[in-house]
Amino acid sequence: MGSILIFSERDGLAFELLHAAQEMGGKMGLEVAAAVWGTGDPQEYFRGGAAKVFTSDHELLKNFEPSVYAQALAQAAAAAEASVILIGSTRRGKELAGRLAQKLNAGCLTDVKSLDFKDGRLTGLRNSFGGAAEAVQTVATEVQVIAILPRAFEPAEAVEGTGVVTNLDLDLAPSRLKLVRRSEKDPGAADIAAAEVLVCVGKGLAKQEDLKMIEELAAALGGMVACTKPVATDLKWLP
Amino acid sequence: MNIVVCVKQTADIQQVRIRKETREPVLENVPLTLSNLDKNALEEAVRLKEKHGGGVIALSVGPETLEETIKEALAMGADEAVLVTGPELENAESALAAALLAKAIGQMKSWDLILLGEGSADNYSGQVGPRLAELLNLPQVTYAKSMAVEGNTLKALRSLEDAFEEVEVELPALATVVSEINEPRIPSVTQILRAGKKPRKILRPGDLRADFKTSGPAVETLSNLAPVQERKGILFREGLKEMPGLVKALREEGLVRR
Repeated sequence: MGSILIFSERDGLAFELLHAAQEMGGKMGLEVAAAVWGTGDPQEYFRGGAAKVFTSDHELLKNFEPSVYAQALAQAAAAAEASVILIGSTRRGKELAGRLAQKLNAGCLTDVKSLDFKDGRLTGLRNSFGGAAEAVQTVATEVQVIAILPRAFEPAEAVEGTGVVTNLDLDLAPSRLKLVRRSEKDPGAADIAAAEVLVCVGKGLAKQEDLKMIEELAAALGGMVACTKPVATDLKWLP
Repeated sequence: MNIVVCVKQTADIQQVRIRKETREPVLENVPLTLSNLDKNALEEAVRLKEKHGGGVIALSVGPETLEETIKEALAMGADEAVLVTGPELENAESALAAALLAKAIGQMKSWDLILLGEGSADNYSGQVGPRLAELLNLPQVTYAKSMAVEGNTLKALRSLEDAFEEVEVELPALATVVSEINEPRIPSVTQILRAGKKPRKILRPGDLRADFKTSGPAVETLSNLAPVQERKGILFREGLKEMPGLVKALREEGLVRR
C-alpha cells in the first residue's frame, strides 16, 4: 500500500500535516506515514493518525541542513513507498521541499492554503501575484511534494492508535555548509499567531502618523496591530 | 570572483488588475520587468563585484521578450547576459526553469557563486534556488539578509521566521536573498544606454541538449482567480470620533469578545 508521508521540523506543524494526511490519505487510499527526526515521540504520531513512523538517530540530522534532510526524506519516502510527501511550509520547510522534489524528480507546490481531492487529482490552493489571485495547482509527476502553510489545517485530534516504528539506517553525505551561530529573532517581538484580535492595516493608511490611531483601536479591542507586507518591507512603518 | 545571478521575467505585479466579472488577473498591457527579489540578488552581486572584482552574468529562462527585459539587469551592472529563450518557455514552471538554468550554468567557464531571489514575484514558490542547488550538487544558503565574501568563504546571515542563522560555506555555493538585504539601484540614463551594447548570448532549449521528459509539466495550474471577497463595506468617515462606533460594530459582528 502506498503512503502519504509527512515531515515538519516543528512538532506542532507536524500534527497539522497529520490531519491533512488523514483527510487526503482517506480519499486517495494512502496510508499515513511520518518521518520524525527530532525528539518527537512516535506514539504521539500514532495517536495523530500515523500508521507508520520512521525515525533515525543519525548524527547529521541533529541540525537542520536542507541537503542532508532532503537525502534523509528521500530515503524515508522510498521506505514508506510514499507517493505524496507533505512538508510544513516554513522557510526551512520550503527550502527542503524544493531540494527534495528535485532529488525525487517530483513536482512541488509550496505555501499551500488548502487541499482538495477531486476527479482523481490532488489539488492545492495557493496565492499568486502577491496575493491578488489564488491559483489551484496540481502536481503531475508520480511523486508529489507539497508544502502546507502553518494553520491551514487544525492539528489532528488524538485517537486510539498504534503502528509500526522503523528506525532507518540512513546513508547521508554531509554538507559543506557550516552553522556558526543561531540567535532568536527579537525574543520580545509580537507573536500575531497567538493574538485573539488583530487589527491589520495595509497601504490604505495615508501616513505613518495614522498608525497611532490604529494602535489605539487595537488597544481598545485588546488586540495587536498587524500589517500587510508592503507596510513593513517597502514603507518600513512597522517591523 | 564570478557571480551568476538567475533572474526571472514577470509581469509587474503592482500593475496587475483584476477583471471584476471573471475575477481573472488582467495581464494584457502590463509591462514586463524582472522579479523584484531577483533585483535584490543582482544588486548584491554588483556590490560584491565592486568590492572584490570579477564579473556578473545575468542568466534567465523565458520567452523571447526576455531579450528586452534583460536590459534592466545589464543597466544595473551585470557585465553580460545569457538567455535561454523560446515561446514554449512562457510561464515555464520551477522544475523546467531549474533544469535549463543548470544546463546553461554547466556550459559556463568559471563561476564561484550563484545568486537568486528567494522567490518570484508572480508565483513565489521559492523552489528554483533549492532545485538548482540540488542539480549542481551545491550547498544552499537561502533567505540571506546580508552576505560577505572573505577569501574563498561566503559568510551570510539567514533570516528565518523566528531566528537568524550565521552560516559559512566555501565557494562555490548558491544563495537566495530576501528583500531586506539591500535597496536595488536605479540605473542612470548612461547605464541604460550602455546596457544595449553589453554582450548577450541567446540559447534555445535544444542547444542545451536538455534531456527532459516529454510527459508535460510537473505542475499544472488549473485556475488562477482573485479570491471572492466578502467585505461588509461599512465606512467610518469621521476619523477618531467614530472609534466607539467602530468598536461597537466589531462587537456586534462577534469579532471582539470583550
